Amino acid sequence: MKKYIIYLIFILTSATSCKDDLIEKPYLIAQENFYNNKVEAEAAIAAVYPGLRSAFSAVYLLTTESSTDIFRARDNWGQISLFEGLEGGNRSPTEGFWANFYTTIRNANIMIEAIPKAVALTDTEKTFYVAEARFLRALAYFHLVRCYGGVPLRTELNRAEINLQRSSVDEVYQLIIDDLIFAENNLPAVPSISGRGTKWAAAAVLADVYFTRHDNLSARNKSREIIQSMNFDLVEVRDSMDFKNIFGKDASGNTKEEIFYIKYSQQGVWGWPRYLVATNAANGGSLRDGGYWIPTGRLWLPFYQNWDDNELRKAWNTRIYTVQPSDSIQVECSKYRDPEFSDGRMDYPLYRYTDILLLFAEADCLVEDMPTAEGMEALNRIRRRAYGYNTKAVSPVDFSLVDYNKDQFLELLLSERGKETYAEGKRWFDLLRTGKLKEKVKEAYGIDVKDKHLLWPIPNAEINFNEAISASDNNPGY
Amino acid sequence: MRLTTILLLLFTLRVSANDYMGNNARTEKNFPLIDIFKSINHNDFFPAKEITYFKPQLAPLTVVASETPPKEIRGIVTNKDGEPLQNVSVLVVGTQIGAVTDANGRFSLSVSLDRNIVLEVSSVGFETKRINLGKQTEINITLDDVVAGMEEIVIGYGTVRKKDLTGSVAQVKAADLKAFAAANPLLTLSGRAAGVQVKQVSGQPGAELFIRIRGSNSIRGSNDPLYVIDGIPTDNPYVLNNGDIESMEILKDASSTAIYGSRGANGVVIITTKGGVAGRTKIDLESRYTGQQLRKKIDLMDAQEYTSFYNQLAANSAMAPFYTDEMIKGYGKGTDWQDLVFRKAPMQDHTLTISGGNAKTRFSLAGSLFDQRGIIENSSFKRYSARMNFRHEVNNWMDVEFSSIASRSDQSLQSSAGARLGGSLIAATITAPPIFEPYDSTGSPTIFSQTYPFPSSAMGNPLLYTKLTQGGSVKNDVNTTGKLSFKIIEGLRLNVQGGYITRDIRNDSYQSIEYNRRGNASVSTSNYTSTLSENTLEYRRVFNRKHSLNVLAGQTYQNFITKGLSGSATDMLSDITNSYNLASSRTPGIPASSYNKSVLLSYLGRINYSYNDMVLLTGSLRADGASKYSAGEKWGYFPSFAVALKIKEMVLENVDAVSDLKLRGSWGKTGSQAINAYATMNLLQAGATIFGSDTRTVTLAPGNSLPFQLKWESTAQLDFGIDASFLEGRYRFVADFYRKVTTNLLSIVSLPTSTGYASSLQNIGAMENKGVEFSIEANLIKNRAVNWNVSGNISFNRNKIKELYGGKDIITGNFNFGGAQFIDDIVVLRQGQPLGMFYGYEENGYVQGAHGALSVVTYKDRNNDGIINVEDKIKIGDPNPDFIYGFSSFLTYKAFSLSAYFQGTYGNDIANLSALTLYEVPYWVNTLKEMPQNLATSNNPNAKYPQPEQRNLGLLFSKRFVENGSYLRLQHIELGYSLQKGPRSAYIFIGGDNLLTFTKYSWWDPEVNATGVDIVQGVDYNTYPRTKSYTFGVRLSL
Repeated sequence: MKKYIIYLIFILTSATSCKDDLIEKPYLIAQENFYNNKVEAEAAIAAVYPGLRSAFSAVYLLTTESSTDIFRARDNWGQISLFEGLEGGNRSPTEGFWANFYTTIRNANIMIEAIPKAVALTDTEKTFYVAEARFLRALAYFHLVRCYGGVPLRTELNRAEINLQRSSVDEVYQLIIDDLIFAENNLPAVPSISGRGTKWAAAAVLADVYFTRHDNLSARNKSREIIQSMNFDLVEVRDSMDFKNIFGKDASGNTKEEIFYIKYSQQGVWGWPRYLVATNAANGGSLRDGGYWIPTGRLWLPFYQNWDDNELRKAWNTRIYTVQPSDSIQVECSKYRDPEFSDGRMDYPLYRYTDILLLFAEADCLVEDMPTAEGMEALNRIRRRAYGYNTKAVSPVDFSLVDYNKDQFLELLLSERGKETYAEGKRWFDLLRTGKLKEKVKEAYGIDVKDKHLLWPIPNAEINFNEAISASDNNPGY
Repeated sequence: MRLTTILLLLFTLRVSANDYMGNNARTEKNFPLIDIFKSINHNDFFPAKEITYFKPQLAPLTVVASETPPKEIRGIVTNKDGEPLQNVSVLVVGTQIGAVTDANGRFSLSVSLDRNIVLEVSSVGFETKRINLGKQTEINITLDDVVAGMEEIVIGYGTVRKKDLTGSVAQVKAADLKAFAAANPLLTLSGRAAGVQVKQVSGQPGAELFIRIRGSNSIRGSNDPLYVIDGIPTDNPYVLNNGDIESMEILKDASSTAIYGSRGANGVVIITTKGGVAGRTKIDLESRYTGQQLRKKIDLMDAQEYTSFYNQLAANSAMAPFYTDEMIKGYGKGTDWQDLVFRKAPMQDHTLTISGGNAKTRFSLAGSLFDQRGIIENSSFKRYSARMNFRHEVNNWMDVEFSSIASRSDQSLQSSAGARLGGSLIAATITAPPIFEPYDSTGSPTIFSQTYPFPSSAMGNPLLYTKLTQGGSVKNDVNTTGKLSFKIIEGLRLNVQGGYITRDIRNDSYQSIEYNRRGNASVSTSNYTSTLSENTLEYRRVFNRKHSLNVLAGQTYQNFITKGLSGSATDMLSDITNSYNLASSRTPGIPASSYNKSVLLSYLGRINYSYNDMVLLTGSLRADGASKYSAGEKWGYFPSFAVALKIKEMVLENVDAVSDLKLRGSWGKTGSQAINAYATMNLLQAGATIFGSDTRTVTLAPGNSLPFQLKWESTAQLDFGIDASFLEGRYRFVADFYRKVTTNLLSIVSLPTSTGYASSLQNIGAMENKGVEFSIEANLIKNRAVNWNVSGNISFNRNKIKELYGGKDIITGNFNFGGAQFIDDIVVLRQGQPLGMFYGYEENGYVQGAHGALSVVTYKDRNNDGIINVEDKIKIGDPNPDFIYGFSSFLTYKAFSLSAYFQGTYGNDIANLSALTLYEVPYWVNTLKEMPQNLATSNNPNAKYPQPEQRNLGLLFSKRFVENGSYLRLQHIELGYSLQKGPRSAYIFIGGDNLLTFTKYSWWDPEVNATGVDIVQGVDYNTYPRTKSYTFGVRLSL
């Protein structure tokens, strides 16, 4: 009897375990099982965007804007404003941007590789998702190539390779242009929801790419195509506060000026870079005037001095305040105003219609080797709005074609661009493209910018861990 | 496959049983009578006819139960001094008949057996005795004290006599635990067991401890030991009170820990809870009342000193003075924030235990309350627990055991995490200016940045934390285990154990609307369960009186499941809801849920063999299959071997001075489950992004760690030891040398960020720990009035990183003080160096700031490349102690007793990052009183502190922040008085904890480890400071 009881118990207890238990079955989605249908593709393409938003919401704009003649950063970004280096301390302030752009590229590459194999997608849908992914990949590379020069070119074909050497600048641009042309041809003209890539967004980036490459003819044609599509228009302004209809939190997705904006939200942590949002601590905002990250201008800067006080745009964009306790007077950007919240909810206007108008004006002048009436009209539309006039009617503040030769017109455009795209992260690239960075910084601050500062260092994390790139492959001067 | 195994096992069982029977019958002449009785006991249960049928050849030896008139047996049990012993269990072997002695040592039994009666007489602290009664009906029995070394030590899946240990095991018994009013029983290990380092790293009530056995093995994985409570492996030893614990065994060498395989590498602490003792039912009550206070204050400036100091800053910054002389006088002392934040706080601890039993059933029931208030408002820890321990002998071949611990703890937390300025309560307490008022006119804590014109919003009022933030966690724990034990044949037992752990945690935190004008709340819950099934067969036998064999074989299964749920909200509508109504907020957060399961399936075996009680051999093997690892890498095999030579028995039999001498040697392999479930899978992480004006859209993408094939971290350990005792065990000495090498170290391999991944976890790297440990115990005086025991131990551990991925340094320990003030990594892990070395810059003196004051700290450009970067760093500190030590004294004089425990470390450095806040003078912080007298001037260019100036500090990690962390601490002292009346006793005591500390360390306490991780050890970063305390207590035994 005893014996049988023991045997029974032994058998029962031996049955409690099972080797199948060693196979993991998480309630989580594995990469191998995903990217099959439209719902999954939507979640996967959406996942390409956060990398861009992270890149722009971090200190990217602070870094680029502060490297120009119109802003000055403080504290440890101060050395960037003074062109004293990007490699200080243990880590370079520019390392994070690289990582964010490459996360965007990785997620895009995964899409580009996986979507064509999706079983439950039509060919049209596949092409659409691949086009959107390629648009975003191109956008990320476009920023990388301008800031870092030739970078490792990771595509869907080589994304698993850990060690990859730098490609040439031309190779990077070739991929960007191929991606953008594909995107332009396969993305819809109107997005399903604002903030996603469109045919026109791709066209705008493509125009910018051509322009940066000094392919002025292509840039002119592409920007003209965008203008002539009549998809976009300027928001009319009568009073300086009307600019909130363009930059305020409620403008998002509601203007014809929007070509491609990076979307931010009050939800979660997706606030627009706090250092650019004018909020008031006394009204519940968490920022105080003169916080250490906030880039500020100075009254004595030529850029500010030359900005007509009568402009509504100046009144909207800038605010003069006194920093305590040092009593120094600074010019703070008040373009992105969010007095109700401590975190901004406005968008980052990465490609706004005015940008394309100005690009067209400049490209057309370069192609024709002189200012053109069409280009001048594009500029004047923006000029009129800055003073509250109707953008489509001749106004007293219009520039006149006869007053400008080519060089004067280009100089005028650079100045108008600075004011129109103030704190939009454009100035650094405009100065690089026009080759006027050194001149403008010298004029503003009396600083001689060394050649090395025209490119950022390849991050240590790349040089240390990518065996195909050694320290000697870094950009000159680093 | 499994069926075959079972059949095979059953077959083996049968064969060995038959074998044993036959053998027994043939060789009975060689056995003393008592052994023969042992061997036949199991047959007594069977009715005669079945026995006849089953084993007819045993008939001559079989005693058949039949109707015989009952026989009265009486006796007295005494100790060797002739004093009667109470509560001694007297059992008729082979029956369920038994009795327990009364206060006079008397017992009586009524037996109706027509055979030779053998009595088994046992009591705790005495050698168990078997007596063949023969024809006697009256008997006097004398029990001998347990000889040192004869006591049983609990090892993995069994017990062994201390004398017969082949491995390195330290034991802490109830008596040691009694003498220490610690909130946490594990704290009693501090300084008591060689090779065990216990740090109480935070004064937060309920804070967990940092415990390391023989150093740290792993960079990324946990280095916490495995805890086994009543047979259930767990990672949570915090459910028990001191009074619940019978003994704790610390398994240190691989021959002891290898039986726990993949969880044994960091050592194992086996905790056995108290069981009942047969006899009179006992009621034990233990109560303690403790008063706690801040161990020491930091000497900061008062308002006058503060205002003068900042006038100097103004002068150094070319600004007009901020304060006139009149203002300075008017401020007086100002606010002492430390006095406002810290308070005296009580702690109490009560345990009631009722235990008892009879020959067949023993039980212990305990209920306790532990209630500790913190020295900071809104911080406390309360635990209610109930424990039950039950054993019953169902019949003479089956035992049942059941134990259960239920505990509910309620912890209120204060910000214990480090952060600068107002980012943490502790930093805010140090930095808050003494000229600020703590409360505004409405009685609410002042918000500095709104009330005063100049400070940064980063500067915070510490009272905002203590008054306006709340947080805490409630935990419900139940650990239950049941065990059936079957005697299959004499010497062979089958143990079937099942265990279940469940832990429910709910965390709440709330920040008032007054705090930041928005208010935020969060709630998270988690439910953890672990189910254990364990089946072992144990066979013990002595062959030819010289060969003793003990074989263990078993199989275990344990799973671990955690489910989580969390939610949050900001912009609360009202403070009334606290964290209990997330919906009443303008911005509810997104809820999150999670599930995590891992499984461990194991087979284990061990053989202990002893030859003539002189040579002891142990071999063990465990095979662990873990779900966490990659396919093909799931199974790990962990063998061990040990040998011990009992020199005393072999060659020193006649040397009386030496009472015991044993040499031990062992080698084994253990593992560490250093990764989380699913770590090897290519999983996508859910997130969200925004499109349109505010449309949340779900995203799924890989994380930033690239999954990789992963296997066990494995640690091979060699141990040589010597156990010696002299003069009848009055002097005992234990020494061990060990060397552990951990290979397949899990390392975070950094990837080029252009891959889109930051890193990957891989099995690359090796680490070594080697060391020696010594412990001594001496009974210096023992006479009728005085008994004085002293003991001490010292351990030397040397850690070395043998291999890192690609030989590359790992730079870690980043501290970011608002970017411009201080941003640096303080630790470099480098091949050939010990873990956690501090690397920093060499200072190069002060230079003048913009306005001429010596306010700028400069650093040496060691490689002269024109920039100060990580290449210029040198080793500036070592957080690893040269040695750790502890010693204790226990003195009794008549009814008085005095005990004292000291423990300390020597030769370790502390990175005092708390002190960084002192330098943040551009933020108007309060700072050390000594600072104004020690500022750099042209006459004293190398003074301790730079001149204050309104500028970005740009400080880097340098020797300025590294301090000597050696200390010696009087951990506990206690004076007690015992009253004894018959079986009843009372003990009254007063004690103190942490009363004396000898150290050069400047900040709160040298026992710090703010990061809680092994690679960045010895960092002080604004953690909740430790207390010192005084205790009054009683222990009643009724």
